[in-house]
Amino acid sequence: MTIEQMAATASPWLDGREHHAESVVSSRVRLARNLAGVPFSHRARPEDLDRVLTLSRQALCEANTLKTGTFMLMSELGELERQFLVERHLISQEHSEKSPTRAVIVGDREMVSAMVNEEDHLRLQSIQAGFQVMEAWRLVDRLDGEIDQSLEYAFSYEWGYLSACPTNTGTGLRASMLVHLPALVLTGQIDKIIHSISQMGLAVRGFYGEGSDVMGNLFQVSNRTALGTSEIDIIQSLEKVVTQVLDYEARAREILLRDARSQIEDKVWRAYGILKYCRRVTSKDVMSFASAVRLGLCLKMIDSISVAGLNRMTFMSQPAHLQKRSGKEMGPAERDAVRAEMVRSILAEEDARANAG
Amino acid sequence: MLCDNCGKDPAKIHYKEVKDNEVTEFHLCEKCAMEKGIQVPHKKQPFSISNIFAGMAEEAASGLESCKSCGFSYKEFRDTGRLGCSECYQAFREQLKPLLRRIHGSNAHIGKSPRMSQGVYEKRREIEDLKVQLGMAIESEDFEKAAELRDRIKELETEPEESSS
Repeated sequence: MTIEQMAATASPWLDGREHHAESVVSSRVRLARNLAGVPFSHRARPEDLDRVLTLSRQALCEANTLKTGTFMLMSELGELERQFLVERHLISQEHSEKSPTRAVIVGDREMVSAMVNEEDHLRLQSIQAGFQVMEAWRLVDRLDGEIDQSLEYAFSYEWGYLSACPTNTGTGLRASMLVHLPALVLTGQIDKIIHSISQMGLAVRGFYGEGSDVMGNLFQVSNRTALGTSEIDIIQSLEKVVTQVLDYEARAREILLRDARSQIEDKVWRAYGILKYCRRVTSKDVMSFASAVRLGLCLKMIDSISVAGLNRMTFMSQPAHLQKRSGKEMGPAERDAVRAEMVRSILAEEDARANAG
Repeated sequence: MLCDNCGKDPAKIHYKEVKDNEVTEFHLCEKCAMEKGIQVPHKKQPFSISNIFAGMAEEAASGLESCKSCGFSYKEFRDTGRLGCSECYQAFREQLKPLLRRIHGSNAHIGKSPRMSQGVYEKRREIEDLKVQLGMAIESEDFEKAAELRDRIKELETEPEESSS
């Protein structure tokens, strides 16, 4: 699958049909792995990086899980395409620099992928829709097992999988869920919740992960430690905490309905109205209006749009997505106009679908 | 709302203090909060390795040694938060042990292992199991069984650990 084909639609895992999909956008698990006997990426000589690339490429392309995958070298991609992959959550911002030894392989339906020569030699990842972090673990675990057949990992009996950064050493696992918490934000409880999540040893981050801002009330909750706990225990404790957070969110929504129903309705429908009739809109605004509409959808105030439609709108509104879809580079002003047009057309489609159903 | 302290700038830091079972609420501006020594939470709070180092400056004071395999020095690690190669873990073992414990709350790996070392892990788990059984046997004064278990543990422990890799 080429980037052009990918750009025609939102990621397949955003179809909104999964369990809890209205509040949990996605679940992700990644494993950090390094090859034995080769310095870590930042310290490796160009010939080391070449060797990692060659060995990994072969192992990844032969792995059953990635057999139909697309292998891409960063140096073969244009800036827009690399940015597209960042927006798609397939590579990190750091990985998107033009380099002849950095690469990514993207598997069928974008559910499994791997970065080569990122901070660690290999970063294996699986993204799933909704509350499916265990399924994501199952897939990435399988890929890891396949790679393990052909490559020798840097591993210590004492400390597990050795990573360039000691925060990842151990299982090398980071599991995260992207959750939508508008009612906790509106009722002013979010700081308290974030605080207690971090006391339970988990981290809360923004939309694009580490160091990124929160947009559209979407929070990424992930484990912070990787050593001394088994993979399954890490996943299960994340599931437990997120379940609890969703429970608090549900209670906050009840309070909003009870005490501020008309204000919320007003907020939801205004947001919908702006999205439906706007002629220029920034991606940040789309995120925040889509968040209000999503809340309205969960509270059954609005039914003319689906979770999948909102996901599509949110993700396709990102700058590189918009430009890839239009097939040309555009400045911010032009993007805002094209984005408004796309948002309106998604809402029109959704309207037609709702009326037909 | 204005700052309780200076009354000039808008209050941005809100906190409660519990003292002698009495809760007092404070609303301060960033400047007054800083002066009072209250940590101002930042919007972006990535989990940073330098924060961890900040708390253990003395421990890492000797930073001159370097990894024989890649030449990376402990000082470079301290500055960048990245190690040079997997051998660095051995070279800086003594410094890393407390650090890993501080980061993860543990410094022993539990969890999956590569194909090459699976035998070792299975054996370790077996030894742990046998030791539990041994404890129970001693408790119930079944010395015959305890002796049997003791011999088996000894046998497993004397086998070379890394023979399977």
